[in-house]
Amino acid sequence: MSEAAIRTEGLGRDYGRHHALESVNLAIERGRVVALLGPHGAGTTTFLRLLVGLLEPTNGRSWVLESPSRALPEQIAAKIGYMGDADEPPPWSTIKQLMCLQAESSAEFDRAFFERSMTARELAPASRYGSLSKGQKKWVRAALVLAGRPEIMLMDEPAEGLDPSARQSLYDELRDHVTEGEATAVVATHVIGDIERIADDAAVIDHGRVIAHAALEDLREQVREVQLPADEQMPEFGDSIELLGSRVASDTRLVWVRCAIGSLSELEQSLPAGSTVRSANLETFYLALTQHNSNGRDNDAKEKPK
Amino acid sequence: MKIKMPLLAILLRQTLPASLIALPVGCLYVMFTRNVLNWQNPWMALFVLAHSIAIASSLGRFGSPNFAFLYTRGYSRDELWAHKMLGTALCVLMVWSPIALMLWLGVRSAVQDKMFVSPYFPIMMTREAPVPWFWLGGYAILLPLFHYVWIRRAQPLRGENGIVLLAVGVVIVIGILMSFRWHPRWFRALVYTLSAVMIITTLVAGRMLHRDLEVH
Repeated sequence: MSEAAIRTEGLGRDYGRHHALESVNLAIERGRVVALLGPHGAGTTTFLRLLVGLLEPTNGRSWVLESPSRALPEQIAAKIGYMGDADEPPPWSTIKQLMCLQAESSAEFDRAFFERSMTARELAPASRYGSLSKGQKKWVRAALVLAGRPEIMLMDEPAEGLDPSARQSLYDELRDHVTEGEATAVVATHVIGDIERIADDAAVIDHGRVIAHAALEDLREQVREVQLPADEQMPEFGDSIELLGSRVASDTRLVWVRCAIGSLSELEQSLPAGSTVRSANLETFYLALTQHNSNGRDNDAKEKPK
Repeated sequence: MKIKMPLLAILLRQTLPASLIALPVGCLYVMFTRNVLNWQNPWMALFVLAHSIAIASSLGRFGSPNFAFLYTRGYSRDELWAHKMLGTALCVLMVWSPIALMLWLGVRSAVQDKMFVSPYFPIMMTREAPVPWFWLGGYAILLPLFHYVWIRRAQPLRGENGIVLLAVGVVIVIGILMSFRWHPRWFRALVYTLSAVMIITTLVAGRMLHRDLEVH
C-alpha cells in the first residue's frame, strides 16, 4: 500500500449548532483521483476547506503530504492546488496577473500549458476576470491549478458551468497530470458521469459523514441494481449481501445491494422470478446511498467505512 | 523571505481605493489650511485614523471570496502576513510622502504666501518640519493595532469583540494625550516607550495569530 497523501482522523467541523462534518476518518493514497460526492450541504466543501487549512476543525485533525493542514509550511503549501467553488480572484485582476500570482508560488508552473489553455478558449491575457462568463471563470481557475503542477489537487465543482468539451479537456488534463506526475486529486462534484470516467476511488459524504469510500473497480464488481416487480416482497439476503437502499418506481421496485466477492450467484438465487440484475454505475451507487429508501430506513444511518 | 511582486501588487491594488481618496484629501488639507500645523491638529489625526482603518479593512476581508482565493495560491501564512505588512507600509508611504514633501520642500508655505498672504509664512516651513513624523508615528501605532483587530476577529473562536473595544480605548487615550498642552519630558519618554512596546506586541501577536485565522 502506498503512502497516504491525505489523511484525516476524526475530522469534524461545526457551524454553531450545525454539524457540517462529523468525525471523518479517511486516507487517500498517492496517485489516485478521488470523486468526492454528496448532496448539497453534505459537507464536501467544508471537507476540502479543512484540508487546505482555510478552516479550523472543531474535532480531529488532517494532514496533507504529512503536514498538518492548519500549519502548512511554505514548501508544502506550494505543492497544493486548490480550487474552491465560490472562491474567486478580484474582478479587476487580469488573467496575466493571476498567472504571475500562481507562477510565483509554484516552482513547477507550466506557463506554456496555461497560455495554451487560455488560447484554446480565446481568452486574452489582458482580459479582466470580472468580465468573463461563468464558464470562462471556472476555466481560468482550473487552468491555474493544473498549470501549477501541484502534488495535491483539491477541487470543488471544477466543471460546473463548463461546456462539454471544456469539461472533457479539464478532466483529461487532470487525469494525465495525476498519472504522469504521481499527483493526487480530490474532486467534489455533482456531475457524476464525468468524474466516473477518470476517478479511481469514490467517497460519499452525507449529513457530514463519510458513508462510503471505495475503489470504483470494486464498486463495479460488487454493487448491483436489482429490479423486482413492485408487488414482490423484499427478498431476504444472506450475510454476504448488503442492502444499500431501495425505491419503488411505478410498477417496479429498485433494490441496490453490495455483494461480497463470489456471492453473485447467491444473490441471483435469493431473488424471485422475473427479477433482473444489472451492474451499477457510480451514479446508481451514489443514489442508493444518499436517497431515503422506500421502506422508511434512512440510508445515512448505516455507515460503511472502507 | 523573497518578495513576491505579483502578491504584493494584488495586495496594493486592494488598498488602492483608500489611497486614491486619502491622497488628494490629505494634500488639499495640508495645502490650504491657513493655521500653522502642529502634531495636535485634530483633522490630520482623524485623517490618519480613517486612512488606517481603510487600509486595515481592505487587507483584512477574510470573509470575502477574494481572500479565500488569495490564501490558497500556495503561499504560506507567514509569507502572506509579511507581504500584507509590506503592502501596508507602501500604501502609507504613497500618501504620507507627498504630504510630507509638500511641507518640507516649501510648497505649502509658498501657496500660503502667494494665495492667502499668510502672516505665518516666514515660520511655517521650520515650525512644521517635524509634524509629518508625528503623523507617521500615528500610522505606526494604529496600523499594527488595527491589523491585529481584524486578524483576531477572524480567529476560529469568535466572540472577540473585546479587542474592538480595546482598539477604541487606545484611540481615545491617544486623543486625550493629544489634547494635553504641556508634557514633562519624562512623560513624553513614557508615551514613546509604551507606544513602541504596543507596536512590537501587536506586530508579533498579529503574525502569530495570522497563522490560525479562518478564511471563509
